[in-house]
Amino acid sequence: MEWSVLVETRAPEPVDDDRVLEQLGDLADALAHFEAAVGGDGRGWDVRLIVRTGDGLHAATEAVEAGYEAVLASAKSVGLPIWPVIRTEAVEQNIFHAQLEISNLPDFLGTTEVTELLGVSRQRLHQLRASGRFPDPAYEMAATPLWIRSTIDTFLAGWDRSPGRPNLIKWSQGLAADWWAYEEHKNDDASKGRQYPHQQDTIVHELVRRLGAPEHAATVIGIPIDQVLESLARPGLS
Amino acid sequence: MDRPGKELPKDYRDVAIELVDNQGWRYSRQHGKHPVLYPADATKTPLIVPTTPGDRRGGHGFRNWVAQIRQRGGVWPARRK
Repeated sequence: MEWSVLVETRAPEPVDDDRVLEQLGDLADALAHFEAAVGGDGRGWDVRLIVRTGDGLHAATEAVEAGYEAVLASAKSVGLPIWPVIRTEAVEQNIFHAQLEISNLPDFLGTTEVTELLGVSRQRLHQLRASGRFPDPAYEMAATPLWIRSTIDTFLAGWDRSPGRPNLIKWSQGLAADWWAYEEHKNDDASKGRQYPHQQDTIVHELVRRLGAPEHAATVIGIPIDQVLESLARPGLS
Repeated sequence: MDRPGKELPKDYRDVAIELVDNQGWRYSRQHGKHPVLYPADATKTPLIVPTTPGDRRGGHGFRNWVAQIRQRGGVWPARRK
């Protein structure tokens, strides 16, 4: 398995020393074959590098230990201060890559986008807000309130609106119900069970395509984002 | 003030320019042989910028570097309408 391993240290007392930055440059060179990224200064330093391990139960722990050993040896060789480790992390490569594909800036929606997504007029949105049944925006700007997209997705998932209107979320809820039906029955029949992951992956792909982002699909189905990302990363689907 | 230029591999340069032009980061070539990116949030520590294309776009080294940027408050992929 391949892992992206983070090792972060912090100085007990910050030091004012420009040499640390130069030593960190040397550390980046020393760890180049680990495809390492290096940062820090007199307050602490951190390295993220690639480590390969076997597939066993303790692979993540082995990755952290191997990463730390490599970082420690190189840090000593370039004369970098060895400070206490305050954080380590190992993320399996496929999950790591999938997470980085998603922007870390939340999706924001203004009034126009929210009314389009709900299929309602601005007046109706105003009524919903006044009724106290609509979530508060994350920001109240002069031009428009701004909601975080996932907040609106969650509202839509539980919104009991009047029947008869076509609604993206109703359609999404139908697919989410199918996903859970497959999940519930996949262990019932060993022969059919093999088909279910493929069918569930297909549902995830369709939800992401229609909703625009993996995190929205995760919200609608009600599963962790990692599970959606694993579905998207699984081979066999176009 | 320094600006990211041809000394950086293109993948890294694209990210560095976005951070400097639109996200308040500062770029310096004053520390040894490697340029340094300073986060807009001064409580975060600076990041070394590779000057050799150690990997292709989307390769491990580039992704590790982007993860470090995100950990320091930088936004990437940058999303703008």
